[in-house]
Amino acid sequence: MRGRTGKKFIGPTIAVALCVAAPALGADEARIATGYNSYGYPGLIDMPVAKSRPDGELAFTISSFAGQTRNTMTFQLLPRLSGSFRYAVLDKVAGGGTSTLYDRSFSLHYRLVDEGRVRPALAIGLNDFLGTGVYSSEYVVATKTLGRRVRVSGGIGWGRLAGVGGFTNPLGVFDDRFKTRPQRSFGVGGDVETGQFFRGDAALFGGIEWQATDRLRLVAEYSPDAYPRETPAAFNRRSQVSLGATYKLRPGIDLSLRYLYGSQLGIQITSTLNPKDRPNHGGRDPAPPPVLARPASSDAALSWRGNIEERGALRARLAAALGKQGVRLHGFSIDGARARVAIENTAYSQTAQAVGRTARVLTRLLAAHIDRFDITLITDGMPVTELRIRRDDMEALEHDLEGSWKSFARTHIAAAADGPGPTPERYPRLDWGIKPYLSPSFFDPDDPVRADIGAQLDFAYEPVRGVEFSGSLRKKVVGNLDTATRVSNSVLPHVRSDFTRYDKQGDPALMHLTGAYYFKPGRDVYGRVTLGYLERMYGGLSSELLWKRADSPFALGLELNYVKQRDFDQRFGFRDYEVATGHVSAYWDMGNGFHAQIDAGRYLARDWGATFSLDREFRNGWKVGAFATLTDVPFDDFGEGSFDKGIRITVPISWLTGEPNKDGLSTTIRPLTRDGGARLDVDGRLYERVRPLHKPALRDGWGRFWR
Amino acid sequence: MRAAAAHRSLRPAGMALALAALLAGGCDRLGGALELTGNVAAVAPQPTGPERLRVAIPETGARATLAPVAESGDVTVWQTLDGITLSLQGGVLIATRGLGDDLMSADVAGDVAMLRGTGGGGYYPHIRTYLDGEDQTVFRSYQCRRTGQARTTLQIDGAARAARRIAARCTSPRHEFTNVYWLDATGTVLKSRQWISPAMQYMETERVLR
Repeated sequence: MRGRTGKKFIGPTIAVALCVAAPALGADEARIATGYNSYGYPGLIDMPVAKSRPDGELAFTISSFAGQTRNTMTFQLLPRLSGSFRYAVLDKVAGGGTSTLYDRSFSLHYRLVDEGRVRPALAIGLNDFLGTGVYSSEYVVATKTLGRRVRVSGGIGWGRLAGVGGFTNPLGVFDDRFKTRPQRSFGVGGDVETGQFFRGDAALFGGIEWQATDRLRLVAEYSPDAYPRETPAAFNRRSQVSLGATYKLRPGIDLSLRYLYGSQLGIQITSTLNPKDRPNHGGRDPAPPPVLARPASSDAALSWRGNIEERGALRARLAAALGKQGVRLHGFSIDGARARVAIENTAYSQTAQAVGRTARVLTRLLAAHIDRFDITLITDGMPVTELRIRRDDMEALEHDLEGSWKSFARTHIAAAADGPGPTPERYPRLDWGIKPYLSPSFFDPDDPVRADIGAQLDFAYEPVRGVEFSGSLRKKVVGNLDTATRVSNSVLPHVRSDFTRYDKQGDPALMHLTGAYYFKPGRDVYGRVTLGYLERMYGGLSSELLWKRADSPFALGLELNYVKQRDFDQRFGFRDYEVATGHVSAYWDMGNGFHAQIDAGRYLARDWGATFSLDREFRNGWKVGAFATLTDVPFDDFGEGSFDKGIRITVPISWLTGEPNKDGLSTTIRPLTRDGGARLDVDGRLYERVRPLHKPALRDGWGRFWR
Repeated sequence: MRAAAAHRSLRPAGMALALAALLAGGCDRLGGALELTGNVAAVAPQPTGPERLRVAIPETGARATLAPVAESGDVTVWQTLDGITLSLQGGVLIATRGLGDDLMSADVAGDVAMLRGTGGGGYYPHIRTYLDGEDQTVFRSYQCRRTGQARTTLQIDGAARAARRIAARCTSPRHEFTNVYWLDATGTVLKSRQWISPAMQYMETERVLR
């Protein structure tokens, strides 16, 4: 099947994620390990430290004491900056009697200054600056290492971190406004509460860490947190000093036990992984066929007549040989001493690897007089990039120490005009398959994790170049998504918030059934028209144009859709809500693996606005990103959360399994699914199909050309 | 060779446990069910000559017999039945494919000269490249030197052969390894023990006469 990321793969993400062993930590790790605190950011027990974790690391922490459970995912976005998303269950908290509170919050932790011989490291942080503000606090912290195994930290906190022993804000010398912390408008949460930052009383905190052995670290801290809503309902606070021990069970997994606030035992499990560390090294791809060097003087050219029959036989042999390498032959012709080959990469996360294997196969099969391979990369029938490779370079560089960059330098890479036409064998083509799916749902207060497991039937049929009919049908086997009882209270059209009704009634569900046409109206312009049941909640017409030059970091897109809401049972019927929705998109490859995107236009609930996305993409295919959508829907109308936002993660299957595979498992985590700022979820958007075939991506993956 | 390698070194234990609850199987079964594996077939070797190379990788418990499948200058590519290749230049390893933690390329001109006795006996450079977790080329540079030479008798498949045993030690600031070669009178490497990569450690090769 052609690679589809996104919604259809949510399930396996979790299943396969469990397969990943935690990768080894870097050899240069500091003698004193920097741990994650109970809020999931670098710290002691509840308090922060002025340190960071290794760049790119993803950490999952679960901490619990006295009915206060915090589940946090933290990403080391940059060497100095980490961001956390937290889902906390606060049992027995005060607030109109005693109740259980479910709270989502974000944190940022930034290391301002590194530790010197005398100077301590310095970091600054913001907690819960978006949510309802239960954990709202800010801090500045300093950390100094004393000797080989002891480290002390101390700092000043505001907000929740000034509950005990607070004093008048020293920032008050600059402006009296700092002396009071304004109340947060509790209503719906979600605003960035800049008005509160570093305001109100301040208090001091501190702690000490002792790395007793390589695996065991002991911590003591003084916390000024008064736990205003948790005490005395959930627990009694007898002391501000907490003690803890963290033991490294194995690389990447820490277990912490704590004695908190003089009365409570707590536990925390921390699991970390770094996308930069593959669990299986470079992957277990079978070896490529060796380059076959041409004899110095060859009679092969003389014996090769090139009549139609021979060409047909050669094409069949080539298609078979490429097929074994995970490459599909799309077009083939011989033009004098030049072989023109159009291919589709069906296997490799790095397109460069498909190119390298294709060129290797060509050296083995083509007559000796052919000295140039023009390889055109095809996606969805559209020629994207052409690579011109000299056969002499393949022969000369296969065993060269620096063969990788040398072959990249000697390969001419440009936008493809039009490759050779499709081979007679390429179309029509039918692919189908059945696989399991797992569809989770998070953060419903009644049951924070629900899931369905079932079977999914996929098919794709390509009758001619550029035309693809595809569909996907799901049948649930077991699950509890249908036990959700919350009904949408949205005052907007219910464009997404009725998802529980889709979950309940859609069994079996037609996830999509579409006909799509992909075309290339200009050298750097790509087009798509999709008609049918586009996604589980909408059907209609979707059209898209993308302008992307082969070598430019910028691209522009335009998408126009006219869609109608589908029935909850996800068969063929429609409800009576129709909407014209569409966006202008600007894409920017910022370099260093960061990608920014802005989509401005009209959303499903007929609201106008823009979505801002920022993703960090690792060269092995991992992506971690965040997005936020602001539209003309007032925050009060949007409801809880105020505006749509979320985090998304893509894990390449090849990273998990070590086998060649170009697909990724993607999942999007939204604190809440509401109706404002909701986009159509159509398959086949062009940017992510075209970009892997362009020069920057080929360059990043060229290390695998010879693999 | 492949199966052994996969089980010993590439499949971290314990991760299947978590999955068992979900799918009553290991990751291999999950991968198969999801069509995650098997996209690329191992190419059957097409031997170009009668020689064979017996190779063992003690770290993973893998062993196999390889046939030559391509020659280019003094480089010979040897292949297993299941899609692993080793490229040797004058008997010295310059690349592996299909092992996982593969040696991508190496400059062994100094080693080859040393084995031929034309190197002068001093230090010579030795450079290797690997791919890191993000598919970027990583260079490892060593200084090497012959550390031992002795006449000995080899037993290969019951036949005794006179050989010269040459050891060479390669050092970098963070890592060092010692390769050992046994050569016959013509300078052909009959047997060797050579460093591959951190996960694979050493391989042992033996030319099989047939």
